Amino acid sequence: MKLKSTLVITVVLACCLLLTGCFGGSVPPKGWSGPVVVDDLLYVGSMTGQVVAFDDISADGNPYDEPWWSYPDETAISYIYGDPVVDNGSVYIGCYSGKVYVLNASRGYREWIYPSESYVGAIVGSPAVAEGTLYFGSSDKNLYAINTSTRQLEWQPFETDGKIWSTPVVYNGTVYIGSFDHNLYALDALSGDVLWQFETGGAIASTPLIYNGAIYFGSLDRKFYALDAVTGESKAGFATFSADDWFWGEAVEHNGSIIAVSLDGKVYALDADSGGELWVAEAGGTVRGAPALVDNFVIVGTDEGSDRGKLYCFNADTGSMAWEHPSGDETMSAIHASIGEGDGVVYVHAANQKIYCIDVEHGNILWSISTSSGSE
Amino acid sequence: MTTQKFNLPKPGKKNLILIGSAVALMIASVTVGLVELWNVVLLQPMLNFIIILSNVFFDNFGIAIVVLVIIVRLLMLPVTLKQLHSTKAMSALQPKMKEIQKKYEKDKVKLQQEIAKVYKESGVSPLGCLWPMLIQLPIWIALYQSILKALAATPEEMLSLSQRLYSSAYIQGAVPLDEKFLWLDLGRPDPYFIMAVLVGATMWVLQKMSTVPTSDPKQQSMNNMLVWMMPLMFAFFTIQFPSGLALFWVVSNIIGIITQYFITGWGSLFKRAPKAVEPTTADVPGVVLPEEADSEGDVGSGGVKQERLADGKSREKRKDRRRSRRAGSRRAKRKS
Repeated sequence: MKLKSTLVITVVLACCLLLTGCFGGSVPPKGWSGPVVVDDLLYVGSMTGQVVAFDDISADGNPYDEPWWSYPDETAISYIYGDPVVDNGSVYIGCYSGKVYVLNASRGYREWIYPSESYVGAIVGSPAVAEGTLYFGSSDKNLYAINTSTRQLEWQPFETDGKIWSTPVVYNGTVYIGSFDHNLYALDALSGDVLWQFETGGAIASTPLIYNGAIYFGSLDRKFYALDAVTGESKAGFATFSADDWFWGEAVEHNGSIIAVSLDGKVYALDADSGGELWVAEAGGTVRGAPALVDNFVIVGTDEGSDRGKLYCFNADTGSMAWEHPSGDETMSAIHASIGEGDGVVYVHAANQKIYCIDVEHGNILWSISTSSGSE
Repeated sequence: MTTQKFNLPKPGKKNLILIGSAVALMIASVTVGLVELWNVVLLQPMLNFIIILSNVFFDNFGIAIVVLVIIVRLLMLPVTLKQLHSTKAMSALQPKMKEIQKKYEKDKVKLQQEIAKVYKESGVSPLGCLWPMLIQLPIWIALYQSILKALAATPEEMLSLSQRLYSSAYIQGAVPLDEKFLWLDLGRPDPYFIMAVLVGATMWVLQKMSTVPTSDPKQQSMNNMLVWMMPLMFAFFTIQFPSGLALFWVVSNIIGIITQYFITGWGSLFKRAPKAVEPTTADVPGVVLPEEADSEGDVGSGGVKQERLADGKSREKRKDRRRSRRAGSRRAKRKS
């Protein structure tokens, strides 16, 4: 009987192991908040679910090992995917549990949260703050507009037919937001009324870029679009550009060219007027986060599979590769977060929970610090 | 303690081809990369197909899961039937095997010869229930993984999904899938535990139907343990994992119950377990000893022919025989 019981237990354990193997396909959430530097303080949402700020981050010396502050001190709020937004002495950050935290930028204490009692759907994009209003999209398909003084809804949440993982952009009294229902919406910032909407062939996860009266964004249908920011019509003369995989990261503008990144591992420079390809550069893996544009260089981080990644630096005019880090066959941890820009440096939040400060001219690591040290 | 042993015969030509194919596949897997081979051959086609189905069925991923499980079950029906028939035939042969093992306990060579002879005469291959099972296993795991991947509940999973999609605009435009189905958010566990109950209940029914009745008390207690343990284990998983997977389990179990019903009927579902007595061949349905078969005018001793006894008049004859035996044993007890 003892032998049989042992056999049964072994079979059950084997079943559990098999099921564990079956779940091998699932990827655990971690978050991919990008670092933001304001007034020599670096803010980031850590992969341990805290908002942390590091001080003394000038490129000449190492920052302190311990963060200047972290919120919450010991526990975690949730997974954080959006970049922090610093406005008027406050840090705004959305978290996956469905709350936006507003923290004091210099001390890190909580000023307020929205919603204060309940939760909205999971927040993946970053919030946007303009003219005293906080805008953010949620997985519950709504775009929220909150008055930062009264902390109440400015207007009834605008409901789309899909999740909103994109970051809203506010320009000239209009809020632009992409939704998983394939549409890019333009709303009146004051009333929340729809001014226009433009339908693409796929979900929109990328953040739109406004440049020269036009709005540029990519979609999961692998196409890159340009629209007139006022009318929502396709930009005259701009030919929609196609890549080999999704556009997720936000594009950047450089000297009349739009530099867009795709999950196909390529960096495309397109003519802002015609949409023609000016150059294309090959990065070794998928590029999800927004690139950084520093001193005529565009820097992108990649995920090359198996938790490996690399940092690439291309000349923004020609697309030629200036450096890669690490060089050769070596790799670092995967990079999904947007690259933070600094004075001659970039800040990279890699999947190994470290922030790297990298010299843009040579591609050397100036310093690195763990974002989880406060919680360890 | 009695144990059921499946004695393997020497591999025939057919088995050699299968083994050869398996070895070739293994070498190919190592060369190309096992994971990539798995993804390209099984996971990606299934994943893309389920996304197409979802698009076809009104952007409803719940219906797509149900339809895909039905399609896969139908495609594998011949293999499933073969497995069920083989299992049934193997079970029917076990009492006879025990007799032979007992008879030739000391002569191992003779034992092997006799066992091989029985298999040959009955036309049952001991691998007959093993191969279909092995073929089905990777398909089920791939189906399971494709549902999980297609759900892409978190941003990381969404990112990983992009690597597995075909470039068709039809497929690209269909993601992400709508997770709402009835009261469920398919990417999250069922908050009301209804799916956990359904998974547990359907799995219990299926387990109960497919359990071969035995008079061996130890075997019986083990069967009972498994009949309860598996449903409870899966119900527990359902509480934690996305309800899309729970839907997959429920539909799969229901189809399994229907298939099982057409092969073995309700099986042990509405039957009480036999009394714990020392097992004899007469206690196992569909099997009689050669002498008994001869006395009843049945031809031969092979499992397939014996299986026929499970139906019709011969079943009644056995029942009568059992009744008389039980009555005899009762009389003996009263006397003592």
